[in-house]
Order: sequence, then C-alpha cells, then structure tokens
Amino acid sequence: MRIEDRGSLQSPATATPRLPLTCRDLDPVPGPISRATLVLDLSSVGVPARTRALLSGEGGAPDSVESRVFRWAHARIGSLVEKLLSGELRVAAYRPDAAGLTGLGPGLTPTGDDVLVGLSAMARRLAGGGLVEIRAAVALSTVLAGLPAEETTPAAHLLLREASEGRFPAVLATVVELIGNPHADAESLRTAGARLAETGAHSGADLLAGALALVQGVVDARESS
Amino acid sequence: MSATSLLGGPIEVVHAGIDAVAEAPRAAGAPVTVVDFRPPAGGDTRRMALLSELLSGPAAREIDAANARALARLLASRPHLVAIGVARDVVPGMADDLFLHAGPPVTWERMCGPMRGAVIGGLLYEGRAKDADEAERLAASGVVRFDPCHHHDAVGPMAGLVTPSMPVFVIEDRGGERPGTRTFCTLNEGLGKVLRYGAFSEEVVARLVFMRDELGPVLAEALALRGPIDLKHLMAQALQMGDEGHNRNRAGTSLLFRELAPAVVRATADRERAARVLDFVNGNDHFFLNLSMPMGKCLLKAAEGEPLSSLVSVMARNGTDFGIQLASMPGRWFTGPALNVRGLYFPGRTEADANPDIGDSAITETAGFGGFAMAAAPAIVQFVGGSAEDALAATRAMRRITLGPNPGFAIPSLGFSGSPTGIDLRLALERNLLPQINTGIAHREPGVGQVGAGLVTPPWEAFHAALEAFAEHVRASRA
Amino acid sequence: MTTRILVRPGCYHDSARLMQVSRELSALPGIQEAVAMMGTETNRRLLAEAGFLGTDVDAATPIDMIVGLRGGPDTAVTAATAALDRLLSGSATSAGGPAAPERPGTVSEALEARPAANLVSVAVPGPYAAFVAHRALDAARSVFLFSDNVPLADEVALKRRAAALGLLVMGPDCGTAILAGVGLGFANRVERGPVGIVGASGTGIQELCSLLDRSGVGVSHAIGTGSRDLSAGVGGLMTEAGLGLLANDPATRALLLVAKHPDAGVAERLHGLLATLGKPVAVRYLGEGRRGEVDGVLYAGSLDEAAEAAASRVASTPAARGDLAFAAREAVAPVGAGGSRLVGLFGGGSLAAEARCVLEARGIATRVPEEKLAANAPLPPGNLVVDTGDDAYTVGRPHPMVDQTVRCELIRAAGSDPSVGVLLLDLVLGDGAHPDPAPEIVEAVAAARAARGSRPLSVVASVCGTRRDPQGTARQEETLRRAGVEVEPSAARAAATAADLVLSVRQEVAR
Repeated sequence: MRIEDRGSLQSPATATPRLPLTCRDLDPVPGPISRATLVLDLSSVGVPARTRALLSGEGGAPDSVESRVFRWAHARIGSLVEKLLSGELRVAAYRPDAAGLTGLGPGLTPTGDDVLVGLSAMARRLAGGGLVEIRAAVALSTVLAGLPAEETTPAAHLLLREASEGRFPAVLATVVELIGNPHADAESLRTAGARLAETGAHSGADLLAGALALVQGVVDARESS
Repeated sequence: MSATSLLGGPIEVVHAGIDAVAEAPRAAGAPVTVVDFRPPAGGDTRRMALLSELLSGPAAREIDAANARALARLLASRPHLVAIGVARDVVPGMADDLFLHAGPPVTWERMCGPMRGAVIGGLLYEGRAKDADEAERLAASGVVRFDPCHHHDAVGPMAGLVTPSMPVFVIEDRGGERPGTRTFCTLNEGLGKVLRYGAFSEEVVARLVFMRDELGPVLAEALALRGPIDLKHLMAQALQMGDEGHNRNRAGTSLLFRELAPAVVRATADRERAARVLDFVNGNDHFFLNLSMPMGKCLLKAAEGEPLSSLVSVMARNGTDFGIQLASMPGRWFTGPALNVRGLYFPGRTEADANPDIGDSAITETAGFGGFAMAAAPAIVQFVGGSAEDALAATRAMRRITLGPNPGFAIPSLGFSGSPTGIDLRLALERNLLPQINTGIAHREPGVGQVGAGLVTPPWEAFHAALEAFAEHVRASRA
Repeated sequence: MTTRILVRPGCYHDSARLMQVSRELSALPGIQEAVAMMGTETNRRLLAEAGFLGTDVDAATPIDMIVGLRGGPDTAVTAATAALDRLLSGSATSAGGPAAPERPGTVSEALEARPAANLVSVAVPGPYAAFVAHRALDAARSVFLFSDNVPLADEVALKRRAAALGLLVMGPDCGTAILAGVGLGFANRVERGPVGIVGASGTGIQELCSLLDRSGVGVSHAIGTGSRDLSAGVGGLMTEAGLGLLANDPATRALLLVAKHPDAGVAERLHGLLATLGKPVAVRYLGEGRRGEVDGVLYAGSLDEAAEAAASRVASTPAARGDLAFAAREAVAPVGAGGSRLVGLFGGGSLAAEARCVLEARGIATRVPEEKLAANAPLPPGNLVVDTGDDAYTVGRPHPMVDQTVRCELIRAAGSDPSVGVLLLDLVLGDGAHPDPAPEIVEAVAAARAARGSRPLSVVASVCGTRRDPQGTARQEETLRRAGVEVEPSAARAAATAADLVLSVRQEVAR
C-alpha cells in the first residue's frame, strides 16, 4: 500500500514528512588529516553505550530484537567500512549493505538510516583529509540517493536524500568537523559529541556510531599495516 | 454557607481522615469527596500553628487582600526592553570595584566552584588580572566587593556575574502603578564554555570582549532605532510556540531576532559587523533568557511593597545557598542550602560532577513561567526524561500554590488558561508542595561549564525561615 | 511463552514515543520483551528472524507501527495488547502515574472542586484536626469533627469562630450526627421525622435514635457537639447553636438534649435558653437523677424517658407505653442465677453511665475498677460496670463498637467467674459499627457458660439500633435470644432487668 492511499489514517505530520533535524553543508577540510589526530580524537569523544553496542555488535538482552539490531547493523557497517577503506568505486558494491541498513531498527529515523548518514558524513570528511578515496565516498552517497523511499520511514528517506547531497544534521556536522582537526581541543569535541549523543531517542547515538565506525576503521587499518 | 442552609440539605460531604467515618454519609447516598490528607507544614506543631494563624486567623483576610493587590499589580506591569547600556553607567549602585553575582549574599570563601570561576573570568575580562592565579589572589584579597544582583534590581543566570564594563539590557515598566521601574540583565553568552557556568578560558574572555565592543553597541543602536520592545507581548507569543521562558527560549529568541534584525542592518554601516551580531543572536537559543529573566524581575518588583503580602517575590541561588524574599519584606533574604538538581547529565557526567543549584533564573518561576509553564513546553520535559503528560501535571501542580493565573501568559495545552502566577508562601507550606524550577547544571569545579539540566526545588529551610519571619512581621504590622 | 505481533496502521509517532511504548510494555508483568518499531521491510524481516511471526505484518508499511510482544502466560500478553491500545489512544498512563483526576490534597481544594459541598468531615489525627477544621471555616463550611485529642484551647477557638460565622463545629470527639437524613461517623439509619436531637454524647444520641425508631418516630436532625461542649471551658457554645438551629427548623417539632456531666454553671445558663425555645424539650444529663419538669423543660431520669416524652409530644395519638420509671414492669423470672455479682461490659460509654444510674437507683452499688480488667487476672470484687471503649482498653486498637475482641475476652473471663451471676451488655449497630456483632458475643457467652458447668449465668443485653441499620436489629436480637440472652430495647431497661435478677438472687440467698 502506498502512502497516498492511507490519507485518512495519517496524522498531519505523516502526510507531509519533515526533516527531524536541521541539516547543513560540511565545512571544507583545510588540509590532510593525520592518523595520530584521529587516535587522539577517538579517546576524547565520549562513546555512549548504544553507540558502543553498534560498533561492537554486542549489546541488549541475549536473543532480543535489540541485540539483533546491533548484530545486523554491526555486520553491515563493518562491510561498508571495509569497502570504503579498500577504495571500492562501484556503486553497486555498496548497495546490498546499505539496503540491509535502511529501515532497520527503532525510531522515527531507524537506526540503520542514521548509521548510513553518519558513515557518509565521515566518509566525506576523511575523503577531504586524504584518508578515504574520494570516489568511494561519492559512491556511498550515490547509493543513499537511490535507496527506495518505501523501504524506510518518510523522515529517514528525507534525511538520506539530504546526506546524499552532502547536507548533514547540524549536531552531527559539528562533531564530524572537529574530528581530525589538530587545532580543536578535546573539550569541544567531547561537548559536541555529548550534544549529538543526546539528540532524539536513539538517533544521536546511531549517527555517532556511523561516524565513529569509519574513524575506528582508519585507525585499525593503519595499525595493522 | 450558613448552618441553617445545611439543615435544608441536600448534604454533600468533603472528608479528611479515617475512611470508616465517611461510610455513613456514603450509605445515605450523599456525595463524599475524600481528601488525600497530609499533615500541613510537614506536621511540625509550631509551624502548623503559625501557618493556621496566617491562613485562618484574624489577619488571614487582610493577607488575602494584600496578595490580591500584589497579584493585580504584577499582572498590570508592562516590562519593555528600552535600552542596552553599560553596567557601570546604568545599574544603580554599580561601582568600578563591584562585582554582582546570582543569589543571596555570599563571600569569596563560601563561593562554589563555578561562581569562583566566573569571578576569575570577570577579573581577567576587566583586565584586573593577568592570569587565573592572580585573579584568585585578587578575589580573595577583597580588592573587589561582591553583592547580589537582586540588590541592584538586576538578575543573572547561573553564576550571574555582572562586572562594571558589561553591556546590560535595561528593562522598564511601561504600565502598572509604578511606571519607570527598571531592571537589568547582562546579554546571554550562548552554550558551551561560558562565564556563567564558571568557565574563564581565553575563548570565554574573548567572547565577552566581543559582546562589550560589538554586540552591545550594535544592539544598543539598533534598539534606539527600533524603539522599545514589549517583552510581555513577546513572552506571551513564545509560550504559545513551545517556550517556557527558562530552559527553552528558542521561540522567544526567534521573535526577538525578527524584531531586531532590520534595525541592526539599518544601524550598522559595516555589513560584516551586522552579520556577526545577527549570527551571534541567531546561534544562541538562550539569547532571550536574559530578557525573560529581567522581565520577570520587573513584574515582581511591581508586586513588592504590599505590607501584608505572603507572595514570594524572589527565588535565587548562588550555588551555596538558596534564598527567597517576600513582597511584604523586600530585600530580606530567607535562605537554606542550595539543593542538587535532579536531571539528565551529558554522557560521561554524573551527579558527582554537579554543583548544587545556582542562578537568579528561578525569577522566571517566581514570576509565573519557566517551570510553572512547563505545560507550554513539552519538548523540554522530554529532555529531562518525562512525558508530555508530566508537563501538564507540573503546571497543574503549581496552580495549587499560586495566587492565580496570568491571563497574559496563556498555555495552549491547558485550554489557554493562564500560567499559574504568584507563589503564596502559605499555600506551599499548607500543601507541602515546593515550587518546581527548571534549571541547567554547572560543573562543581571552576572553568568546566555545563554538565546537564534538570528540575530542582528550593530547600524547605528557606520557606520555614520565611514563615517564622512573616508571622512575626504580620503580628508587628497589626499591633 | 507466547509471541505476538501487532500492527497499528498509520501510527506514526516520534522516536521518544516509540521508546516509551517499548519501555512501558516491557515493564508489564509477564512481559519479557516488547519492541515497537516502524514497519519497514528490514524491521519486518528482523522481527520474523527473532520469532515474531504474524500474517498481517506482511501488509505493514513504514508508516505503520509494529509491536512485538513476548511473554507468558497468554493472559499477560493479552493484557499488554490492551495496554498498547490505551497508550496509543492517549488515555495512557505514563511512567509518572495515572492521568486520572487525583484526590484533592487539602480540604480547601476539595471545596473549590465541589462548591456544593456544605459539610466537612474531619477524622485526622488530633494534632492536625484544628488546622483542617479552621480551613473548612475559612471556606464558610460547617464541620463534623470526629477527631479526638484536640487541645481544649483549639476547641474553644474553633467554636467561637464558628458561632460568629453562623456555622457549626460538631466536635471534637463527636461520634455521630445526622443532618437532613445523612448520618456521619457512627450513625444509625433513621427515618426522617419531627424530633431534633442535640447531643454531647455519641452513643447517647444513638440510643435516642434507637428508642425513637422503636416508637415509630423519626428524627429531623441530630447535631453532635463533642463530649466537652458543656464543660466550663467551652461553655456549651455548640449546644446553644444547635438548639437555636433546631428551634428555627420547621421540620423539628420537639427537641431532645443529651450530655454527660454538664458543668453546673453551663447547665444553669442553658436552662434559660431551653425554657424559651418555644418547642417541647426533654433533657437527659447522663449520670444524674430525674428532676422532672422545670419551667416546662423535662429533665428526664433516663434516655428512655426523654425519648418517650418527645415521642408522645409529636405523636398524633399517644400510644400507651410502659412506665418509664420501670415500677410496673412485669416481674422477671430469674433463670436461677449462679452468683450474686453483676458485671456490665459496655461498648458505649454513655450506655454504661446510663446503666450505672439505673442500677444505683435500684439500690445496687456499682464501681468502676481502678485497674483495667484483664482476661487473665482475677476479677476485682463488687458489681462492676466497665466501658470497654475507654482509652485504657482501646490503646492501639479500634473501638469495641468496631472490634469486639477485647470485650469478648472479658465476657469469657468474667462469665466464667462463679461469683458472677449476671452479665450486662450492649450492642451498638449502625454505619461504621461492627457489621455483625451478635454471633461473636453469643460465642463468648457460650464459652463462659461452658466453663461454669452446671452453675447458671444470666446475660442481659440491649441492642441500640434501628430497623434500617445494615446489621438488622431484629436479626441481632434474635441471635442473642436464641442463645439464652435476655434482650431489652434500651440500656436502661437492660440495667433494670439485670437489677431485678441480682435482687432476686439476693432474696434467694437470704432465704
């Protein structure tokens, strides 16, 4: 059934979905980003329990739906991060994982969509700083634009479309811009992270998980190499 | 309702106490409303006797009448933003060696961390100290004097520090019985690391300098061009747009921005300068707080001076003590320890990081909005972990201890009934119900800043002290 | 273990609401897991994988809410389903508690909410009672003040204020009142009628109601004043107010006044008022002898006489009644009492006083034991009349009119004593009182008799109650009679019967 068919059942808010968070463009990256800065940033930003659960795939009561959300999301985030770091340029390569994330989990903007938006924001940031292949970041954006509207909530779909065009929730953008910036102090990053984490019921923590997953991936990859 | 009419029936009963006693009227089919009885004044015999005297004794009707007049005067007041000046020039009694702070009087020795941090920041900002160490030595040496904002008709959020060179909003009563009454408040610095939360780093001082050199002068000129702004009118609109005027000021700030923006552009030759000022206002959702507060102070000053009124005219905290004043005894503080705030903490922060309750911002609740208008702002109940129903319940609860609604501050979610206004000391004690205050939480160490936000109440000690003094005052006045 | 999956179409709520739904449903008893999510394709697959299966889920869209419930037993899951609908319909209760109207927190607020309420009934602990009563007077409402332990000064202040305001403060320590057909406290259900009562004694008023009811006469109002009203300190303020009201009340044609031990000065002043009320008045001062008619005011020798006088003044055809002084009673046939002593165990304090008075008038000296009676201690000597509603017996337990445990123990103990020949008892019925007192009394009497073996025990009881009382006066009397208890219609008559029994035993012994 299409959204249009159920007009009588909808609240006005449903009929004209609105963006849950104000979005804006990311500031341009001034120069190359060093891995050392990222290591420092990871230790500065506070990681809420929910974000940690998404990053590790472990959390929630055993066998609960919540724990499954964390496991599903974790596996797909891992796969996307791997592809971004390996410089995968084909749009189609990102599609299955992105499709597995969109519409996944609780909330007005489901967890999976928030993770995708966070990941995409960080991919753009690190691409500007030379740590991620620019065309890989663009491929991910393209996938976001192409995810079918009927597979997630109207609000999340709007958010994905904004992200695919490089506009991100302001609370997320502030955090992303402070990461990899050697002149930013730890305190501002922590404060901005905290502000993001308390946005919405889950959304802030989920957006943060997407962003930090990629940072973690870069740090880990460099360590092993 | 005379006893004669009682015999005419039909009997309808209100019952308090052992339920078995209400069995008989119920059996006879009479309506019985059972009261959820709690001993008044916490059951303390002495306080109960004082309270009974004030509620039911020979003076009670005179107190009622005084309260009615005080409330009427509060409601008739029309605070306007008329100017932006420099504290040294416009705040009465301000001097070069004087720093004003939030709450009741407090010495440097008893000042809490964030208050000390703000004093250090103030000394750095005023150029009286080179670094924090020197500032601390200076503050302890008595080189500057400290005085509550309230002693100078001013109010300040959190630490509430006002130093001589700070720009201040000048609020003037353009209605009521005492037109021309003025109140004052500094301009809001924004969120994050700010002086009012006790931060004093370079960025904090730099922002204060910007506010002194650019924000203040530009807004002053713009306001002169635009003419006075009716703050009660703005507040009334903001309440219908999801603000409560204390922890949420997004609508008020937006409305103010609309009022000021054209004038800022017209008054400023340098476009960049105008843009910086407008960006600053636009970027700070709490900019209107520093207007809602002095507006509240202006409303309450209108209520002051009614000799037998039990209306609470000030509630203010300095992070160490919580003090209240009564409209019948302006200037006299009744204090108790500032309590910890029940609230939500930013991730990584806990109650252990929190400073006890601080700031003059409880003037908003005292004047009948803020926590009292919680029903207007469900968004921030979410923020403190409640539901929208909790917001309605909070406002309804405050009706129980207030003198009446403020029809000027209509709350849509409660059928546009007025916000509960004018705390009656007597009712709070009788009903064992303290005013609910919305507030931010400062870190207990100087220089750190905000760690969360939540709800708090005054300590009972302050109300008990006020009860003793008011009973004595009433006796003396009527003797 | 049951899993259920529910779809609520078009329920597009914000995230916090979804989270709240999950949280509140999870908190319900028996619910192990509750998840509320939007019905996206991915979420539907996820829930299916987690074992939440259901056919209507397939049709769900991203703007429908789907809720998965897991728990047991089945009824718990069904209850959670109902809770979900309540939550979504908005009539929900949040974690903070029900949104339903709460009880008012104070009398003042209750009166604001119920402007038609004309009476405030106060039964809070003594120290708070005056505060609450004053708040009722602030709102110009009369007060029924059941609480005791109210300081005398507070009582005086309350009553002075009420008198000035033209209001009533009935109490403190006011056990009963009846206004316009509505009882308060321990009250008997009476027919409305022409006799008005003012009383400083709760059971005194009840006994009058009971006696009037037995004569087929109704009560217009019974205004309680509290036990201390006729003391020198209070000065009869509310007795005066009550009499004044009834004198002006068109429904009241005759007046009755009952009080215990009035202050002499107060009684004298009151006499002036009673003599000029313009309506027939009968007075019973408990514990005092009969003074007869003075200036048209009848000072009766018993509650029975007072009630009888009032009834005869309002009855269209005065019925022939037994002699009020009990002179011409038919002789009691003694059942052969086993001992010569009498022990009276009362629930109603005024009834005990009334009994004592009748016994003394018959030459039977009674005493109140200095030590409180105990079931396991030897019975003190002499004829004893005990009010088991006295503070000494009620510390930490309800009044014997409600809880008869102590009185029944004493009945067993005293009744077992072979020196005791007669037990004198009362039963007080009405709202607030024990729902079925007779069986417990009968059981205690039977136990006492069993302990005595062949030595007989006479038991005389009066039942204070009306035909409409919930305990059923007739049924209570029947239960007693069947157990061999002599039942009389009033405490005074029971005392007279008991006196005859004691006297006949004495005569037997003398012979």
